[in-house]
Amino acid sequence: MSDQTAIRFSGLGKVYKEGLWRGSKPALKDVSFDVMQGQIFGFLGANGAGKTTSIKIALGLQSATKGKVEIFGIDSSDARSRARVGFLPERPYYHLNLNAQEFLNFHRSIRSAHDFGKKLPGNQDLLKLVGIPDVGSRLLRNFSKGMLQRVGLAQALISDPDLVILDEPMSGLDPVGRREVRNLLVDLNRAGKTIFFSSHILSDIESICQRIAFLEKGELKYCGKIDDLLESHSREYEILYREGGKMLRMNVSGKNEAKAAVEKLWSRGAEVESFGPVHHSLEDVLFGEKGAR
Amino acid sequence: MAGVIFAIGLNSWKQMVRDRVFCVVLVAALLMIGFSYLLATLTIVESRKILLDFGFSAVSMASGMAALYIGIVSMAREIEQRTIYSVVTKPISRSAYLLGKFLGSAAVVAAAHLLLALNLAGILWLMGESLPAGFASCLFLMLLETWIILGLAFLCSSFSSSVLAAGITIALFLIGRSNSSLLTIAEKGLTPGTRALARFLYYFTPNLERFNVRDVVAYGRPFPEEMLWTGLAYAAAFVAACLAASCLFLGKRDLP
Repeated sequence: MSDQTAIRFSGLGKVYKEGLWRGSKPALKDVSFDVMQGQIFGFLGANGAGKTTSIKIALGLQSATKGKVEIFGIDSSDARSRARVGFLPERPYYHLNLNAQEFLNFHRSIRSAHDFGKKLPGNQDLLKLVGIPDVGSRLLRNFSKGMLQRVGLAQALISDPDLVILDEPMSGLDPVGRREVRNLLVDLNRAGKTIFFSSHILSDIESICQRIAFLEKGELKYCGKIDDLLESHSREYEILYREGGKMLRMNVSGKNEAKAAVEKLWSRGAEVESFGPVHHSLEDVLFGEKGAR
Repeated sequence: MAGVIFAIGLNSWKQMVRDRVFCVVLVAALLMIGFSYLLATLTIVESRKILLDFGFSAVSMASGMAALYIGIVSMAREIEQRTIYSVVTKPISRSAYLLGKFLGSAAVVAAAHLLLALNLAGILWLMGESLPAGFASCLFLMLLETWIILGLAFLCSSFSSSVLAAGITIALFLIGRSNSSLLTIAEKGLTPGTRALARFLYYFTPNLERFNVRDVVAYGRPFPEEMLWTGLAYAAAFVAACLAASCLFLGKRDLP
């Protein structure tokens, strides 16, 4: 494995047994891709596409039926693979009878053997970082969903990890909170951390990720740079023209073909109002056709 | 490793002593033992025996219920509610998690049991009665029994849902409490199948009757001291076996 690889998914497959009589259901089919160190990597897919299953296998919560996941070169079934990892689960599954300070102290103490001698941020610094500085003595059961998400993020950062894995980190947050978390992820990345996060909110991914992997029904459909994906779909040109008193639109694939179409329109006396490439968002590219159906 | 287990145990303790349902169960148990005082004052003869008999039964039942509840909440519900996620995704083994949870839970059960025992002793003192010989030993054997129930609850929780785990644990508890009857059925059962099943249950379920010396103490009969040491060894071996099997099952289990 390259020294620069943070997570490597190799031919990952997972089949869930659905009871004695109903057979089995494949959740992941031969998923392979790498997450390089220092990246903000977005893990995309609709609900049920297999994102959370992949993350669970990467963190040792579930076993793979086929293939494996390595974190910093260590198989994910080995607890040591999680030594440099911070994890925020999809929902705030925490011990709600603890207050925020106790919660963070607990998570600090169970990592103590691995973090011995490491200079780590204090609880108050972490709570301040995630935007809830004054809640240290409050029980988690009295927290709102957004506050739980933030304290969970503080827990994920408690060991100053090299890799932060977040499963739907924006869920439960209001628009301001989402923007704050996005900014925090960018800041963490600037500080040298690798960020791997799953989301089905494409605008969040598009705004901060350098690379993405897109899963559909357990299969990897795309892995690479967002720009490359968008560029590959930007060969389409739109021509708006007026002919016979009506405003009409024509979509042409390829720049040269589009130029030829414009000349043809001119030659038959049509008035070309506008001509240019169609700009696609990530949502258009990944879900556009389905959305249209 | 020891520090991690201690931290998980301490967290388990904090969780449980702040659990509202557990606190309600404990208060109800204290009231139930208090009721034995009323019962004893209503009788003219042998009020001491009635108080001890009812009090011991109340302590045993309440501690057993507490152990069952704590065992299920500490393990099965942690898995179902996924609070286990934030812990086992740290660089620690599931065995360390399970061991820490068990030790924390066992400490809570012991503290609850001690509270109930002190309550019973207080009532005896209120009635001007002295503590019977073997009082502490009887309560210690009861505590060992509750730890076995806790071990069973952990074992069942390691491979099944909370409802199923509670059901199996209660069934094993009831079978364990009538272990000598199983032996009788194994010897004198009507069909070979019944005899085989009884023999299987006799050997693979805990013999909880060996922890019951309530009548001996309540009726002032001589307490067999060797029961204390054999009971301790039996409970330690049984709990260790439960925990080893739990570690095996939990280690292999896909978390939901």
